[in-house]
Order: sequence, then C-alpha cells, then structure tokens
Amino acid sequence: MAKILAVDDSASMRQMVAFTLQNAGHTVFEARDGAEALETARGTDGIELVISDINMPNMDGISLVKELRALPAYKFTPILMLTTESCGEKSRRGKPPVRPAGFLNPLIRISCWPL
Amino acid sequence: MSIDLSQFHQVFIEESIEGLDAMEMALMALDLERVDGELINTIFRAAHSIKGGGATFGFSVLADFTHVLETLLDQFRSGQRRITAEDVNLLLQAVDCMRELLSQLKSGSNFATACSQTLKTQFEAVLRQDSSSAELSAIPEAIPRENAAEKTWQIRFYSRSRHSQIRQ
Repeated sequence: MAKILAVDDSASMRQMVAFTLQNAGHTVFEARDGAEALETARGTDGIELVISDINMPNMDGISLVKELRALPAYKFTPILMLTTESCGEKSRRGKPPVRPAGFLNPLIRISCWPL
Repeated sequence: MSIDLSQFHQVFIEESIEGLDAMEMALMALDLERVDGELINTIFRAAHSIKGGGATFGFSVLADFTHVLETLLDQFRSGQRRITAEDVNLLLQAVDCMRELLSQLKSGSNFATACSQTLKTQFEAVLRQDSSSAELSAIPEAIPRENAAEKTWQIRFYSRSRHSQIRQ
C-alpha cells in the first residue's frame, strides 16, 4: 500500500480524499496548503503520490509542484492536481511541471489498485 | 467503491461559515482605489471552495448560486473587470444569503431562498453587462455544466514502481 500526501485548504475535501484512500488501505498524510505539504514532503520518506488542490493560501498547488520537482526525492513522484476550477487557464499554466489529470468537479471516487 | 459523503457535511458547513467570515472581512477591507489582489483572491477562494464542496456534496442551490459569484470574482481576479462599490454591496448581500442557505442546509433543506433567487438574477445581470462580455462568453466557466462533455477517467497507481498508468 502506498504513502500518499493529500493537500487541500478545504478540510472537508481533504478529509474526503484521505478517508477514501485510507479505506483502500493507503497511508495518507494531510497538509492544508503548499507550504505545509512541502514541509511534510521533506520530512517524510517514501511518499509515492501527491494529490493537491490548486488554489490555496500561503503556497498554491502549482508552486508546490515546482518546489517538489526541485527536490531529488520528488523528481518522478506522480502528482495529481485535484481542483474544481475548470480546466482551461490553470491546467495550461500547469503544463510544464505537471502532467495534469485536471479533474472537473466533483471528485467522487479515487480507486487505487496495488500491484 | 462508494463512500457515504454525508459524514463530511458538517465539516463542510463549518468551514464554509468560516470562509464567509473571511470573505466578509476582506470585502470590508477592500480599498476600491487600490484593489489588493490578495484580498480579491481571499474572496474568490471562499466562494470557490463553497462552490466546489457544494457541488461535491450535492447542495445544488448553494453550488449554483456560488458558481455565478465565482464567475464574477474570477473576472475581478484576472483583471477583466474592475470591482465597483455596487459589486461590493451585492457581494456583501451574497455573504448573508449564503449564510442563510448554509443554516438551511444544517436543518436538512436544500431549497432556493428569496434572497438566493433575487441575488442570482442580479449577478447574472452584472455578468451580462460590459464591453468585454462577448469575449467572456468564451470562458469555459460560462458553459452550463449539462453541456460540458463529462469524461470519467480511471487511473491506476502501482505502488513501488516508477510507473503510473493513465487510461480513459
């Protein structure tokens, strides 16, 4: 089972993502914004997936991706941007650092299959 | 795998009430001569979170109302439109109106209120105004959700490997 970092400033969204993933047997670390996520990412070994909101205070999701990509341990870690923004401008802006799976709302389920 | 979303309703309502407080304070702190982008972003973020959560948890009246608000706020944020005193006034009324919708949701009712209907119409009228409205209609946000092509993606993550596979 994977170690996953879930980042969202909205507690209900974050809890929903965490709950869903924990139900599927994963270990979930939660962060309230990009800055907190970066700190958690630096202090935690073996995070295999990051799921992040885009629009957050302190540090937004796009900046978080850039910061994470600058860390050797996170160069190839899959990062999913999860947002209720429509996919136009933001996902274009996110293109160089992110290969976006930009979801339109609402997020209903994430299913993970372990190998 | 299906999860019961109702367990998150209370958290959503509480954080939305906090978001509205922040939105109200930011609206009152706005200096229309020198608009602070960070305040606009705070206001936008509150509306945006309420819309997203509202849509996710099936609170359609709240989501539809906030969606109109968000569209307008996004225009302020991106500099397409200048915020006026009338807009601020309307937005403050919207804050009160959303509080009312949230307290209704607390008691289990998801219906439009008098204020939500009136204000939504007023916001839609504001959105129709302006020279830039021809361009604005091209913004994806303006496309009614029913018309947007919805796609479902199935994404598999294989733990302890460098590969993730994305397929539709």
